[in-house]
Amino acid sequence: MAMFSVRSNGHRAGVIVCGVDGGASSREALRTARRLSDRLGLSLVVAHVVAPLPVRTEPWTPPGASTSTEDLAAGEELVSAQCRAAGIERAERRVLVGRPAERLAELADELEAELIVVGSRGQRHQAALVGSVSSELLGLAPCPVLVFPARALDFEELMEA
Amino acid sequence: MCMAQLALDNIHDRAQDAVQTPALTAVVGYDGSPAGAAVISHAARRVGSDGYLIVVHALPLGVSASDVESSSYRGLAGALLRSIEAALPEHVSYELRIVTGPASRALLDAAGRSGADEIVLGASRGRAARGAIGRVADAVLRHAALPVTIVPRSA
Repeated sequence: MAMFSVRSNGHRAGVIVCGVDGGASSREALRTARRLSDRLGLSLVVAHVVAPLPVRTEPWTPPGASTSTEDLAAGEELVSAQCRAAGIERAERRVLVGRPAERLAELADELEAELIVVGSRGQRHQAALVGSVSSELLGLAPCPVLVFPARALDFEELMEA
Repeated sequence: MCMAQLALDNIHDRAQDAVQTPALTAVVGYDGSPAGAAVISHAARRVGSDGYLIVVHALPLGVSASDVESSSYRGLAGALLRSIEAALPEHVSYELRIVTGPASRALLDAAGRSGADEIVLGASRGRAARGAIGRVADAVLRHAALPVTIVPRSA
């Protein structure tokens, strides 16, 4: 499905795709994405990727059809909550299903995004220094990727304290 | 680590004007390649016309400061400056730092000392495997305390 952002003058606006996962570095990544979209005059698309449920042992389970509506609704709520927290009202929101890095790269490709913004690690990957999603994404992305590292977050929280 | 720097301040300094809104500074890793030129263009767009770029070119490991002063590297700085000028829009201020030692450390050091807003670098150098981001980018991402933008080779 092709999706276009159209400005009032009829030209397509450039797009920043920001991937959010509920983690602390992704919250800060979203604030950075908002600042950049304001500064560069690009429209912001906030995306969250829901993992499909693990494949069951039953051979008749149809692959790819295994994400519950509850998961999708929770994903939409997560995106809304993160947008509210970042003071974002007018961003387009997307909830996708699959491998996060693949879906984000595909979305950026589809929208011909100028930039993807992500946090360096999700809340489920605290042990990794550079999150698996961001490192995989860097290999797939069709455009520059801004990674907001968790260390920067520690620093900013320190300065605000 | 030997951080021999050829001080090449090619700067039209406008720091005095930047009182109202703080101008953005980006540290840029530049290997001199055509893909590197795309990295510079991206960084320039990011900081805007009142921004400032600190362009860091790391010499191959094993090259020493005394090698740099010898004739074989004499033309390097000029060639790098010309290629940077070609990649930059007019009126973007920058400086070029040619350093020895690991590129990742040079980038992080430059960012830390300058209080830069962001590091911008290319996805991979040389013969990195497809899908890999490259050793320099990986090391920078692991240690950076500021946003890091990775520009893929194709972008």
